[in-house]
Order: sequence, then structure tokens, then C-alpha cells
Amino acid sequence: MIYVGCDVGSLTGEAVIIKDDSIIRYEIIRVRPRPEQTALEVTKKALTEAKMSFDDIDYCVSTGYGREKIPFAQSSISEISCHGRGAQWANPSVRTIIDIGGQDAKVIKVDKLGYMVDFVMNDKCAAGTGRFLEGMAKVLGVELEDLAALSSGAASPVALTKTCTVLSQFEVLYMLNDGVDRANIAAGINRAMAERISKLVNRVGIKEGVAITGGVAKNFAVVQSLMEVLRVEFVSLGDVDPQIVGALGAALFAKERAEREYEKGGIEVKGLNKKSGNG
Amino acid sequence: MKGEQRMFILGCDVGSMTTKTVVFGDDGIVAHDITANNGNLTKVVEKSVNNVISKAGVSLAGIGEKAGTGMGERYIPFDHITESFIKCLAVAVHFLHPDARTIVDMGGLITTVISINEKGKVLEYRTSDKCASGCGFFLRLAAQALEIKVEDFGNLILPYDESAHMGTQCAVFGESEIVSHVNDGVEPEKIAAGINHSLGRSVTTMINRIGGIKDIVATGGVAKNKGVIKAIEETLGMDVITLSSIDEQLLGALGAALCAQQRVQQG
Repeated sequence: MIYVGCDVGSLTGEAVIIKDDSIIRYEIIRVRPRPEQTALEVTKKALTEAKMSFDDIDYCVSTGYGREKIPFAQSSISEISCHGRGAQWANPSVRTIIDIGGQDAKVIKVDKLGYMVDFVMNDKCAAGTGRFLEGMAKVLGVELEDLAALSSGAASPVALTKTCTVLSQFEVLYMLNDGVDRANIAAGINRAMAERISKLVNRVGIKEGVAITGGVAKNFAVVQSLMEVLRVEFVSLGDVDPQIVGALGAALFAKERAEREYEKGGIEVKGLNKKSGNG
Repeated sequence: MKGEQRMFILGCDVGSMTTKTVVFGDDGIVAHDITANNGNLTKVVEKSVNNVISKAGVSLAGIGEKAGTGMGERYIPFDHITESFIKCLAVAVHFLHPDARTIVDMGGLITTVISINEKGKVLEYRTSDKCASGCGFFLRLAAQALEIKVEDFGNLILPYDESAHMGTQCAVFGESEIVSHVNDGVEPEKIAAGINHSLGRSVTTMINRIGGIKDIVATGGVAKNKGVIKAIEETLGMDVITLSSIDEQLLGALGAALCAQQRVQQG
């Protein structure tokens, strides 16, 4: 049985294919102008790499932006639910998920089955989202992927006084004008990011078993700073790439829905025996 | 008064995106300069000052007093008097328009609303120093995204329900919202009109917080955008004046010069 989850974010789109309770293939791409295009492209890429086609999919769930518009998905589920599910599958001890995406930040609390019990989101202010780091990388003249390494060996991290992404970019520009060491600036940026995120986390509080997901989870310097500010160690997600947690959760829901529909006899699911009835 | 030295004063306002300088004499502003803050700020200030004194036909030694203000004031390399930006705006606007009671300065990064009395004294003020929404920097990003010149934004005035809806306040997310609209095929003119409305709304909120009283005078680079001014007037239900006798960006520098002049006159 082939189940697919597809997650369209603000900056990247992901697709995950699961078979027999394991991930057989996943892909991450930059978004296209329309969510349907992103979903199609990333899913096609994953299927092609797995030597499959759309016909092989037994059930697909879409999540993220424009999730209702994905023509090849049988149903759509909120990214919050998908994130909770995906993270909990990766590590059953997860109870709090901090998801830092390109344009939003979420904190999701889940029960032992991965179902959401509380959550908070910031999607109004770019501070504490991937956008904050993107802007800073530009001001410092580095690629986003190289921003984490820049802070290595910082002897005295600066303290940024402005929360706002734009205002703090100007603050950094002034620091560069004043000849402040770039490693110290980068370390200050990590700290500012961590402090902003921790404010969001404090609105729902932490339950032990904290995982970090989303693109920013791959920035080891921000992750380190966040652990220091929150005073927790993040649990591992094993081999699961933190950026695909949403799509993974969607794929798990796809499996759950397909099996439920089959039991109800409501739909014909390719590969499962069709039950007799009004079909 | 043959032989008497004319007293010139230099006012310098180092803002977030531009540096403004004026040479002020007995008859008013003799020369002005606006230079973009590209690269080393001290060099930008030097360049602007050299431009303005050359236009005025004086030398730096011939300047009686020098005053500086603005968020980048510390980058002014020569000895000068430091004046608070708020005070500079109040003094300058009062000087040019004594009926002013509320000043709305819309700059590159920050919007400031100031309440002044009949003598031009500052009573109260608020700044948007927590969030860069609705500022000149955002307009510049928007102009790039829409491929419309910033100077032309002001002409794109459409009724609110014919403009593209801008849901976000954040300058960063606003840029993404613009790109979404463009990808959805919305005409750039409608998006620009929507941005003017959005800025008008957020500035009006600030004016209402302080309780804006007439005459309301708008200053700063964004005040050059007639679309934003109109949107403020419509949302606020009051007239907003822009001073015709001076470039909207020069009030800070003029105010600095006037403050320095006051100090000299007081001995």
C-alpha cells in the first residue's frame, strides 16, 4: 500500500511516500508561484525517484497552503495536525513541537498518539521566522546555508535591541559600519531569534519531549541558542528530516483514512479487497 | 550693513535611508542636499555636506554653527550641536506653519506623530519604533516588486474596494503578499493603490492614539506620496497638510539649523 503526504509551505514544498510503515522516499523543493504547481512538482519528483507514478498512490493527503486545491489528493488536513502526527511517529516521546517555517512559527502540543491538544502560531510578524534569518544573511553578505557557521567562535555576541526584522537589519547594518566582528553579530542574531521563539513557546508552555521541526531546525546555531534560552534538550527525530514532518504526518493520515474508509466499505481503495455492498 | 558677516548655519539630519543637509541663512534656506545612505555613513555625511556648502557658495569655515540630528547623527564627523529629532521637527514645522498642532513624520523606517502647542513646544509624541510597517523602506521594496517607481506610487489612487487588499502589517510579509497578488494576475496599479490604503490606515491609527488636532502637517519622504496622504484623510476624516514651501524630507535638517540658531541667539 502506497500512501503519500504533500505539504506546501511558504518557501518550500515537501512530499513523503510511505509503504509498510516506513518512508521510502521524500523530496523538498522551493515553492512555485501556485500551490498546486508546487504540490504536483514535488510529488512527481518523489514518485519518479521511487520509480512510481501517480497511479500507484492508494491515498494522498495534502496539507499547508492551498491544500484544498490539490487535485490528486483525496483529502486535506491542517498542517498543525500533520505536524503533530509526523513528529510523534518519528519519536513517540514527543509532546511539544516547535515548528519554525519560512514565514510562520508554531508551537504544537500533542498527546501520546500525536493528536493536537494545544497550539499557538505567529504568522503576523516576521521576527522569529525563517524570514528573519534570510534578511540577516543578506545584510551580512552570506548565503542562508552559511549563516549558522558564521557565529562559530564568537567571543562576545552582540545584543540586538530591536525585535522587528527590518529594524534589526538596520541595527546590524550600523554595527557593520562600526566594524563590529561578524561572528559576534551572527551570534547575536541567533540569540535574538531564540528569544523571540521562546516568547511564543511560553504562551503555551513546554511539556517535556520537545522536538524542533521546519526549515530553521537545520540551522544548528539557532537550535543551540534556542536550547540554551529554553533550557531544554531537543529530542531526536531519528532519520526524519525536520523539514518533512508535516508531509510525513499527512502520509500517516493518508494511511489512517484509507484504512478507515476501507473498513466502512465506503470507497474503493486500490490494492485493498473491495467489500461487497453498495460500493 | 556693509561688512557684516552673514551668519550661516548648517543643519544635518542623518536618517535611516537618506542624509539631508541644509545651509540656513537670514533669509531662509540657501541650499539643500539629499544623499542616499549607501555604504560608509561617515562618507555619506561628508559627501552631503560638501554638496550643500558648494551649492550655497560657502566654505565649512564660513559656517557659523553646525547642528546634527537623526538616528545616524553620531556619524557626523565634525564638531556639531546634537539636537533631538522630535524637537527639530516641532521647531521647523512651527516655523513654517504656526497653526500646526499635530506633526506626522513618515520616514524611511519610522513614523512619528507629535503633538505641539501654539508656541511649537512638544507636548507628546509616539513613534513606531517597534515595527517597520508602513515605512519608506517598505515602499521601496514594494516599488521593486511591482516594477513601479516609488515617485509614481502617489499617483495610484483608487477607491478602497477597487484596490488590492493588503492583509498584513509586516513589511517583510507585505512583500510576499505583493508577490502573491502579482502571481494571481492583479494589476500592479491596484496593488500599489492597496498599499497606499494600508499605510494610510496604520498611520491613522497612530494619529488617533495621540488624538490628532488640526492643523495636521505631514513630513518625511513618505509624505510625498499623495495616495497615502489621501488615504489618511479619508480614514481620519480630517485634512492633512503638506508644506509647499519646502521638500518634505528636509524638516529635520531645517529644525536642527533653527535650534542651533536659537542657541546662538540666546548667547
